Amino acid sequence: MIGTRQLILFLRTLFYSAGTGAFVMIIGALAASVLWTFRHKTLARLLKPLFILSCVMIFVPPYVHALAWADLFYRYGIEGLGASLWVMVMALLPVGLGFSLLGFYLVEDAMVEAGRTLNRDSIVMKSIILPIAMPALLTGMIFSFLWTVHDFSVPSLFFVNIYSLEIFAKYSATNNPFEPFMLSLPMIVVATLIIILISSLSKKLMLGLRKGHTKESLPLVMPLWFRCLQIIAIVILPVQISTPMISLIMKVAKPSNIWISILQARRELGFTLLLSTLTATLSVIFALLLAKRVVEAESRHKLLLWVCILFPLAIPAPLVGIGLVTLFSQRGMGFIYGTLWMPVLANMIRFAPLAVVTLSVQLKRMDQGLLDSASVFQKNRIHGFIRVYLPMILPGLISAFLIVFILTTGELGATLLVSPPGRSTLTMRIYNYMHYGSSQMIAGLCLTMLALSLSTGLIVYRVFSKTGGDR
Amino acid sequence: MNQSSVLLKINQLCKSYENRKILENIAFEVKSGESIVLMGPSGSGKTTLFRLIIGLEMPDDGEIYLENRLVSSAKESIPPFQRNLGVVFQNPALWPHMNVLSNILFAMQKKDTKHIHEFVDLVIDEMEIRPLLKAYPSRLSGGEARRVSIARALASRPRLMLMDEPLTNLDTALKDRMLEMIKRVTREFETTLIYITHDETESRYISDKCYRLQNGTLTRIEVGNRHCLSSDKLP
Repeated sequence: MIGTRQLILFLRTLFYSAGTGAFVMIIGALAASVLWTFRHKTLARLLKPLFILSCVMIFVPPYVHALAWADLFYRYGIEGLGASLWVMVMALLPVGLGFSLLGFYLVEDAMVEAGRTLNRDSIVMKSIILPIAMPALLTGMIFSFLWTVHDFSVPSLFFVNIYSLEIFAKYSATNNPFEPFMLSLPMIVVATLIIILISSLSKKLMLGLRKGHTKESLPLVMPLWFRCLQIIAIVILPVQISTPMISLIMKVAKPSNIWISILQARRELGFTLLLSTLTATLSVIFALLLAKRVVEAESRHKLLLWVCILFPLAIPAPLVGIGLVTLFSQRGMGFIYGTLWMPVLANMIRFAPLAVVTLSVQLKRMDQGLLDSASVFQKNRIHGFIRVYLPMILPGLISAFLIVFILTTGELGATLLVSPPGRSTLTMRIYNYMHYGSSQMIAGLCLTMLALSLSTGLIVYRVFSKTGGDR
Repeated sequence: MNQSSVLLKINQLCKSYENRKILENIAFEVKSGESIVLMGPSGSGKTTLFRLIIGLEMPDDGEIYLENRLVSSAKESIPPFQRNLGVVFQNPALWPHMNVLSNILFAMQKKDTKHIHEFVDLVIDEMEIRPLLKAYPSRLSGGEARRVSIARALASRPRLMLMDEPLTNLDTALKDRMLEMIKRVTREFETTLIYITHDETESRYISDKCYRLQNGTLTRIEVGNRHCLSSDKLP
């Protein structure tokens, strides 16, 4: 079923993904921990935009980072797994930073202050802050691992073979869905085990959503080596943000090139917007129905529910595409095959779980007291739904929509296999150009993608932070 | 230490937040072995004063001395753990990932001696928490969690215990039992106590020496003048 070469490739992919996850979390946690050690208002004000920008870079597809770093790497002869790992770390740093900020936010001030009266700050950090933040840090690491394990767009640009690419290649070579499925099994097993771990950690994360910081304390005093590492982590953030921007702007050479590349790719752009809008709308409807059930489910069923919801994240992207092609190419199922609905379904399978997570978080943040009082004072259920429930859940709906929307625009692994004949997404066009096209054209399209991703990310941040439930 | 020596001296302490004066020229002394109560309405600055004494915040002006040693001023501040204080917060603040025993022994990491462990044993018995030692905080009731947090504060044998409304949200019967326990252990372990509350009943039970903090200033309240908020009789 799986040969020695494939076994080595599998292990190498796990090592590469685990390394990416670990680096992402270490850098993210070090940068976020600055808020504990330099809890000064002015510094916090300076760091806030940096952290926000770094976090919204999550919406920038990894291949945009790859393109930006590739020239620099080629110039200095850096290639292979190391180059790919660095680019993935840059692309996923927002995950590390975001989950670290969340983890540290969940550590109550009183816990830290109680520790500080009894022991030195470095021990408080090691024995109190880090263990309490650990569920969030681990979740971030696991998300980064899962993302890396399935993404072949970056390794392929650095001529590195990884397991998910092997699955794609196997299908292309044999056109037989059984072989790639068998090849995917070990990956699915590992990813499922990891998802079970995430699901059990999510309970602790959800429990902590109502806690947070209330007071301003003197900063923790940490050893010099730790502060040096923190500064390095902080310096990496502007590098992560600015490298794609500067590099792409330099490659485009003149602004008119952006317009030329957009005009040339207008069909792809239109198709991408249509595909992403449809996927996001359907995913949000599906997620709204499911999230409410998950939040209200009895705790003994919650773990199983979360594992089922998150399971699609364990499936390699090419296998999602292969599965859909196999299913809908059967006799009597052809009404979907070759239509726009194939990529819509593929992207829903891949990203709707994230919409469920986003809406569950929003439901958890909502003040039950406000809903209860609405049920007393409302004229009827529709009145209560429109005037109270909908405005309260709206930030979650908008965020879930935008998250699925932007991830769909950047999806490659499954879309590549299920796109209708003669139609392709912006990402597919960029990916093809990267191998055969002009660099100005690619840079123009990547800049468009970057602008689209960053503006979406900033909207998500604004919507989600402005209306934070009962805070 | 001499029973009548000054353990804590606070000198012209000032603190403001965003141009709002919270404490203004606060000055008082606490002698070794004394129990004093700090009272005041919500937002009067009790907790700010508590945090300044612990060393979690720095004053804008004035000094805090512990056993004649300057520990806080506008320019310098000795870290909280070097002040040898026992602190009980409003919220028990027990670390959820450690069991009760690990919570209590947290301060012992650097000074692990047989002598200290004998003392911790004594505290555990006094606070009646021996059956809870292996339990995690999520399994404890409100009263149990408070007893553990007091045991944790006592375990490092502090010179001075500070309690910031430690009995908030407990029912009257449990509050009475806890008050009795606090009074007994502070007497048995000869610990100096600063007890912060806005509850007149609690303050009467803990000590006759009471200060009221209001509008940023501190005034001593005579026993006879203290307004009784509750008619509950304590044992």
